[in-house]
Amino acid sequence: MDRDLVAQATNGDQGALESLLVMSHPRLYRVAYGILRDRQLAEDATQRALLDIWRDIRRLREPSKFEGWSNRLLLRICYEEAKRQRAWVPDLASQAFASLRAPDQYGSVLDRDQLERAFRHLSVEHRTVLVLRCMLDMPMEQVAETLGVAPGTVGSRLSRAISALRAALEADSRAPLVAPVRQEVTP
Amino acid sequence: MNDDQLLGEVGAWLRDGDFEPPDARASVRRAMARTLQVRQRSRWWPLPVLGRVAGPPRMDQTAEFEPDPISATNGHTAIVTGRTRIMLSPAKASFVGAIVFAIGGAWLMAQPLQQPSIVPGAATEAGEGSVLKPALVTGRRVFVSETSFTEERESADSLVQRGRITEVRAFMSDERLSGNVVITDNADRFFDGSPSPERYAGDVLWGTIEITNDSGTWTGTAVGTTDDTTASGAGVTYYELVGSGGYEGLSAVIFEREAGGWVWSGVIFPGDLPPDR
Repeated sequence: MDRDLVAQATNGDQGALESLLVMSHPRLYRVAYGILRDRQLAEDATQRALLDIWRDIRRLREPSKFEGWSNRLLLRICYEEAKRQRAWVPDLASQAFASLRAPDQYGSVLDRDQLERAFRHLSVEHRTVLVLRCMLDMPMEQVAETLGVAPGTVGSRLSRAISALRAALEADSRAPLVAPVRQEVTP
Repeated sequence: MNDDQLLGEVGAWLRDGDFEPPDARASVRRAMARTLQVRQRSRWWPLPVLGRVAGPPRMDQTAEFEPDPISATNGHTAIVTGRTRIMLSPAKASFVGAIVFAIGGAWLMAQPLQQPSIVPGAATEAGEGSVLKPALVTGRRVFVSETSFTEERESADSLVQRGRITEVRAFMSDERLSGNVVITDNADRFFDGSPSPERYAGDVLWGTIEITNDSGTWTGTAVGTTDDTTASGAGVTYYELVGSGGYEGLSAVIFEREAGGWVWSGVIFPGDLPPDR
């Protein structure tokens, strides 16, 4: 991230801030989608994060910490969005697109779908730690800093996430192929 | 499949399952459209933000929200000259004025004709008791300069800030409290426990204050907090001051709040600060 651009934004340069937001959008969206697994929710969360960045940027003391700071803002919003997410409606469009875009490494679309369903059974805390660790390849210390918890807590949370994922995969493999789908209910 | 293999496959799936995000510029534009209802936060207490510019008008302040003219039935053309405002009728204004005048008059009549100085022998060049008399004061302070915190670190549950020196100038209704002000402030800002450590459950602010003018000096302490429920993170602070030099024998308590600038109000009184507080 361009440190000078962040510094200009923290000093009230609205042009620099908008450029910064445009640059940050893809990163934030990827993380949000990784956690929420829904394009609309991810876009909503990203826009809320952008708004929070715009509102609080002048409070950022150290420009070099912008990326971690903005990640934390986004994660807080993702937690809130996930709580509002009562039930899952499969995002079939994105799954189909993904399967067309990249050759399947796991043998079939069904495997992806199983992984998707299993992943969605995880708590948002478990999804978050998996996204930070596996998708963004963050070191444990950086995950801990981003989540605001001790490194040991990250280790145990990751371990529980793996166990929960295994359990969800096993349960899914025993379930009928076509699971009943509930309509999403938003308050 | 062991844990590392599973994590590797999950990571590959997460990265691979990612598709092109929506248009970033369009998304930022939509987010920026929502900034009309949000104020940008500044860094916190106790200083006003220099160079803050007025934001765009609210949605309901634009011309399209003006009332439409209603066609007149007598053939005249109706003209909307501006937004309607609630106005006080002359009768009501007179009535309210009379009440205010009566209360003020009663209060004046209740005052003793002479208020002897409480501190014996407090005569000054300006006249008996003139410097030591109690008085309500109001005014404002204007930012001059500040230093960085000498210590700023994060502990497990708070942001620790120490030793910033701020210079301001006080313009008060009573000249005894006007002058150059030096505030040394400290803060403990407590994280709210959310994943974002930059969010605070609240904070406590404290420090020392010194006001100097040609006649004397006031020294004292400050304690306050930031009201983060407001968009600008407004601070509220109490100052307790003891006079010296020409203000020997006087104390003052000042309450500071943000109201379009930093506003001070309080009292100067003879004697010591209250005990057991």
